[in-house]
Amino acid sequence: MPVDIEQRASYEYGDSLLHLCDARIKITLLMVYLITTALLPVGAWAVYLLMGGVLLIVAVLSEIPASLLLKRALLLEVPILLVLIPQIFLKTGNFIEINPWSGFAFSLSLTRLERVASLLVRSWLSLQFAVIIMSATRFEDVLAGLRACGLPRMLTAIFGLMWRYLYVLLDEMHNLTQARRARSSTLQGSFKQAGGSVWWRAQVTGGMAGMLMLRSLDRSQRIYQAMQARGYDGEIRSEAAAIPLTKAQYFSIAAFILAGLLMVLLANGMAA
Amino acid sequence: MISINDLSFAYDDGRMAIEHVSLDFKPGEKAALVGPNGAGKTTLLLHLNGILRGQGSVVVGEQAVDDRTIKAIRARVGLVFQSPDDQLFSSSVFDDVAYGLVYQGEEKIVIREKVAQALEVVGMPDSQARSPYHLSLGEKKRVALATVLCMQPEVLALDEPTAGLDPRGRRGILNLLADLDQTLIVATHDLEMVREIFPRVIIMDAGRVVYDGETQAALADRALLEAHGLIG
Repeated sequence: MPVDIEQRASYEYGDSLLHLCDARIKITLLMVYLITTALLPVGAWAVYLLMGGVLLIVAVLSEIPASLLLKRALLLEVPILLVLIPQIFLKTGNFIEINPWSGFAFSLSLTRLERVASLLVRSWLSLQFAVIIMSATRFEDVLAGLRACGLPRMLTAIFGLMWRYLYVLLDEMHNLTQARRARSSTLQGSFKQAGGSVWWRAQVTGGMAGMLMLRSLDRSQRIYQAMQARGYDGEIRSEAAAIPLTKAQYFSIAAFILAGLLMVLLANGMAA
Repeated sequence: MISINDLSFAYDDGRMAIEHVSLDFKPGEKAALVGPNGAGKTTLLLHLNGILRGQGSVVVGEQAVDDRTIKAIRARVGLVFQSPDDQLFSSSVFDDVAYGLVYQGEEKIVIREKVAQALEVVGMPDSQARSPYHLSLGEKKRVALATVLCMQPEVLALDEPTAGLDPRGRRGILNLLADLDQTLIVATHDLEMVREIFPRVIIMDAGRVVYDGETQAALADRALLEAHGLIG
């Protein structure tokens, strides 16, 4: 049985301060945080710590269990880890040879080590912050927030439809695999090799993929027609986005940008 | 044949789909599950061959549905989903009907024979090379039935077999069901079909069994039918 879209998505229901905050403010805060983190120089550990402090405050304000937020961010961090870790074993810059036992030796680049550690910390801070904001903001509000922040209409429409159709695709896939499971049986007392050959399984899976594509196209078309019938014109509308920002909200946006700028200047000043 | 004991099931969102359901079905029995939308009929059917597993037990023959027996149970209980689009996933009718047999490791010649027989029974003998995607709803429903008939299960569990069909398509399915020898458990809103084919009816509402008995008596009880949303 299909599950409610919000429940399957990353959104966590709640009424914390972060949940109640205007999506436009949250999106701006996220953008400022991401850009600031990306602009920080290698080895600015004190500023990383400050950024970590900001992250901690936002996490506390979200009232979402820390274990859940950490799990989501670490899952996203895995590919970055896989790409970065081998870098520290390259023989570049200042490196040392390590020979733990006879016949086995490897090099450790100290230059790369600091660079990789900095990148890992910054990527984790960015991912963790994005996870917190996304967990406390409904996707429709994220889209409306992005649109309000100036993202072109076409792009927000593409993001919105991709999101919607992702779950259409998942529903279709769930139904097809359920039907396959229901008929994947073995006869009791039979000595026949059940399960079919690898080639046959591959053919079945290929057929299912084709069927999934055809049916998803059909269903997506029906959804789009239903959206058009109800007046969809490519513009994401949100009640919150229709309300003009208050002076205090404009002030907070300016404060975020200023704080981000200060962090970058501070980090570069320390590095110089 | 099938014994369901104190079965309860809740979906991920915590909503109880079925609660404390206990039922027994004899071999060859024809029983209809009726009730309003969301009564738990489909959920109950999905338990019969282990697609869903709730608290309590489901026993088919002498085998309780569990991890060890699940593959054998699925050979004994053929499940046909409400939407034939959910049932048919291959690029040709032959491949779809043959799926279960190939999985069971049957010989090619046996597979061809059983597929032809099953399609003959459902009145679609010339459709083997056609794509299920291009069939009409009535034809898809027939082919969906053939996908389990070819495995010769002892029990057929069908979800809304006549839903969405035109009168001729509906009549064709009714005649087909009336002629089947297997134990038949059908979830439906089609009370005329229930009256015509099923001597036993089980009425479900809000996940519970509220009536289990003779069809004629149930359908004559207007208050019972109204109370559970079976007539307007």
